[in-house]
Amino acid sequence: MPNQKDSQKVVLTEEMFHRVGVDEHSSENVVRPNISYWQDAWRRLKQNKVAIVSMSFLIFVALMCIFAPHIYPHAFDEQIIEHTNQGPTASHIFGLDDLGRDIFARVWVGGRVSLAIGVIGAAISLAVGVLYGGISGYFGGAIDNVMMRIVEILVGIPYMIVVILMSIILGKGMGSLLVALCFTSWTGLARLVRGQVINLMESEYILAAKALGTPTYKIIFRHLLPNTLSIIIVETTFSIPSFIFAESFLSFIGMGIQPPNTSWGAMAALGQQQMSNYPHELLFPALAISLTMLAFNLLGDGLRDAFDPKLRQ
Amino acid sequence: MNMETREPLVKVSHLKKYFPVQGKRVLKAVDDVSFEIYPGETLGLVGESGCGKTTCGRTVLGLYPATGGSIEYDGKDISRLKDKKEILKFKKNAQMIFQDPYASLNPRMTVGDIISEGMENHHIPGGHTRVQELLGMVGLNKEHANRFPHEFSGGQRQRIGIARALAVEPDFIVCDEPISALDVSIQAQVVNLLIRLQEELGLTYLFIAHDLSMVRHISDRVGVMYMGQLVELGKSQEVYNHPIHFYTQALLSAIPVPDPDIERNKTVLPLEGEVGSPIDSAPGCRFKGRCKRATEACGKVTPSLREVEKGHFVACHVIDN
Amino acid sequence: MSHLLEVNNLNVSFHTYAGEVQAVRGVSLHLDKEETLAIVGESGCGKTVTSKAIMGLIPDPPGEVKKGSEILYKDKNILKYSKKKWQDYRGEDAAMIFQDPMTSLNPTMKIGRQIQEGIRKHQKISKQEARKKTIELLKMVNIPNPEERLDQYPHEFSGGMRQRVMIAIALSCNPNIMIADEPTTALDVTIQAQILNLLREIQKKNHSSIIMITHDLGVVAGMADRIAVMYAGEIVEEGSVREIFKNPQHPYTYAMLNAVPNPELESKAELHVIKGTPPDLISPPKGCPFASRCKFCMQVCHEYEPEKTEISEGHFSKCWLHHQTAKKLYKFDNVRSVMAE
Repeated sequence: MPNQKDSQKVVLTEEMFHRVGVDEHSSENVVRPNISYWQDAWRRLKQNKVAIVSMSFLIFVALMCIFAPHIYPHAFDEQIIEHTNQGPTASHIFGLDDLGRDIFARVWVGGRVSLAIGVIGAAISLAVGVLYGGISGYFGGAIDNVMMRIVEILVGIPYMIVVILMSIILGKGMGSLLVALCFTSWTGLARLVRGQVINLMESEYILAAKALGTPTYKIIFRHLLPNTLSIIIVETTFSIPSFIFAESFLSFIGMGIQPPNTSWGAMAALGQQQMSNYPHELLFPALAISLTMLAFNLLGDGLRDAFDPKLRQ
Repeated sequence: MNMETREPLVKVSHLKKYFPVQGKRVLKAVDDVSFEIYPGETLGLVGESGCGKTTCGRTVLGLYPATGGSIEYDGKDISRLKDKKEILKFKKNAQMIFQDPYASLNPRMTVGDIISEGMENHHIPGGHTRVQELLGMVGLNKEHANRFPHEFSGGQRQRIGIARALAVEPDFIVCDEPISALDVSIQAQVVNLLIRLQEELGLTYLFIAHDLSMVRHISDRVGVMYMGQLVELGKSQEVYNHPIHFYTQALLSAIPVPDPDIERNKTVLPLEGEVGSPIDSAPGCRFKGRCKRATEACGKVTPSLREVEKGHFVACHVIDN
Repeated sequence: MSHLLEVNNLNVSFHTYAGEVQAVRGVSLHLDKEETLAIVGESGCGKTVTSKAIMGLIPDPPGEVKKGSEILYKDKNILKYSKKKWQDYRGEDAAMIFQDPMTSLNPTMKIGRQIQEGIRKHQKISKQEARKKTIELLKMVNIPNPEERLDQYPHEFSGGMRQRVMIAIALSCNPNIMIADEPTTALDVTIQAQILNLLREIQKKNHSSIIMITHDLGVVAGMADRIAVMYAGEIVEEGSVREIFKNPQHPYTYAMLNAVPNPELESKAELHVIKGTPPDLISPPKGCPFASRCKFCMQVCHEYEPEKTEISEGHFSKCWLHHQTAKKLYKFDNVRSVMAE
């Protein structure tokens, strides 16, 4: 005990034994800093070095996709016929492809497409999935049954078939690609949200809200959604790389982005043909895909840990 | 307090609440329960886990739709209300305090928002000032309105729950095990608060708990439930000092008394076995399997509450003889 | 005379983002053969952390058993044990019965296997032998049809039954010390009575010692030989069960005993209440931890930690009211009369 030795040396005067009584106000004080759930999650995320590095990397990639093509002296479709397949040099940082086009420029232009599909696809999935899952979970019973059976049917459809169908109906290109990819991707989030909502509905604070006469829409927006947000954010962070990969794969097999537009997948397709002689043409788009996907996944992991109430100290 | 001439504020008649379980089977959580609560009094409802007391409380408030029977509030049958406005009015008059202080407050809302939610629903004016008033009423500081539930202790959270219920100015509050999750000295704080508020605001309580000594302290009358049915009902002191039903006797003898001389020398009435399953229960007295005095008749007909002494009701065939 | 278990100046802290939480501050206690020591206090007082320290179950990080702490079991400082020695100690010398039987048993493992695991870790016996022993254990804790129930899963047992299984697991290697951490808090009153009875029987039969951790004073009155009252990480009073209940000499003990409704009290009378909440142990107060809530708080209570005063043999209290200056000033010879004011 810290003070023991001291108090034995100190002379205890009679004065010190005067009654002081209880300070009621201070006995109710809350000592720790006022910290909301989101602030706490952010603080925990910051401590995760890997997640922060991933996040910085992604911000860097996004900025490059937006600004690099404007700053970089070479255009993505400009062909330098004399130097086709040239390796990386000082003025052409990633080298040239088999049509003499600057790969560095193409990576960032292609990145715009890949990232856009990733983000837009995830956003559409989010909107549809959250709404669908929320309604299914909240109402339960027959409505939930029917909605979940529909989901199960959709999940059973192989997405290649959907992609081919869409490309026949809508033609190839970014639009039809998005439609095809989003057609069944929202189901994962819908199930997650539904599960969480069903879980939350058992909570006493939802019961309390009903007892207070809170209308349904307020229960959904004030009580259910904010408590589901963390799951939604994590899942969305993970779904972006799935979209990027799906797009890459489809473009790789020729079903996705068509020339003259390009994406990482399309670039990889072209690069693959030159792989044995000029590996740099495959290397850079492949790196772009894998590193971006890795970064999103690591960030997602970090977010999930940051939001997990059980890991709170 | 002459109870016979006053009208009860809450009148529960033959209340049934059944839950479907795994296909055709039925869980009879509350099976033919009747009681009355008079204005200004506290009716305690005790029993062990699975007896149906919490389900009973929630059904009385309309949080679960009743399977059978009726619930009258202030003379009106609220168990079959369809009109949204009437339902909302009832929710303003009758509120609930929940058991788990850690689960009954939305972790994402500030204390101020939690308390004012009810006020918004019923368009009660007052805003911030009233929230601060309510916080003061339950012994918390004004500054706490901006904080989040996880920053508070169990007892403080429970008081926030009480403030939330009071915000809509109810007359009747169902207290569903409000102190079970709290430490002993905090329990005393919350119970004192509830008693004081009852006096100041003229509240009526249905106090559900399994802590028998606390229930005796706060209740005017008490009912003992076992497997969905009321087995004994009467004035608190009566039931505790002269329990008649064998289950009540066993229950009371099992309460540990904080006095070594009493506790180490008392005989606990043995209650063998475990509580039966309320799923598909057979006809007859639910307590038959564990009762030393059971007879043939006990297995055939379910006993109903009968007045054995003035104001003291017991449901038992053996007693009647 | 040496004790079976002796805890000297135990200090345990947890390192959190908000700072260092001093959960246990200078706790000293002892346990003798065949006696039951109850550690009583409210949540956050440090009783569970103390018991975990005795079992070597404090996770490091974020927990830390500070230097200068000593836990002697049969005169050996177990805090210096290697991992292997801890594993031997747990089960053979000391075993813990946890609070919530729902979550302390592995839901995917049959009961029999969970019990046998413990046995076979400590004793080199065959599977058949272990199975026989398990059946005996289940019989000892009054579980009917042990041969069949051996092969069932936890969810097939009721709460009371599960707690008996927990006790069987704790008993499996005949420990000298059983640490029961709120063993009946999650159970109904009638089941609680059965379980406490069982513990008493077992203690008699095996001549073992029990450390019972609880906040329920009724349970303590029936089970304990001695009581240690904890508040904010410290032991504020300790003594025999009769002494503590009949002659409490610390304001906190006194207040706790009075917070429970007394059947003599008239209905709805105001219960004796301790206003406020326990201090946050990130910044524990420098004086007596109970000062901010104590009716009799004096200036000195805020400044300095009170000394440990011996009231009678084996009965100690840490409170400035026992200091001769206080007694002179307030002209009383027994602290209890002050508290009854």
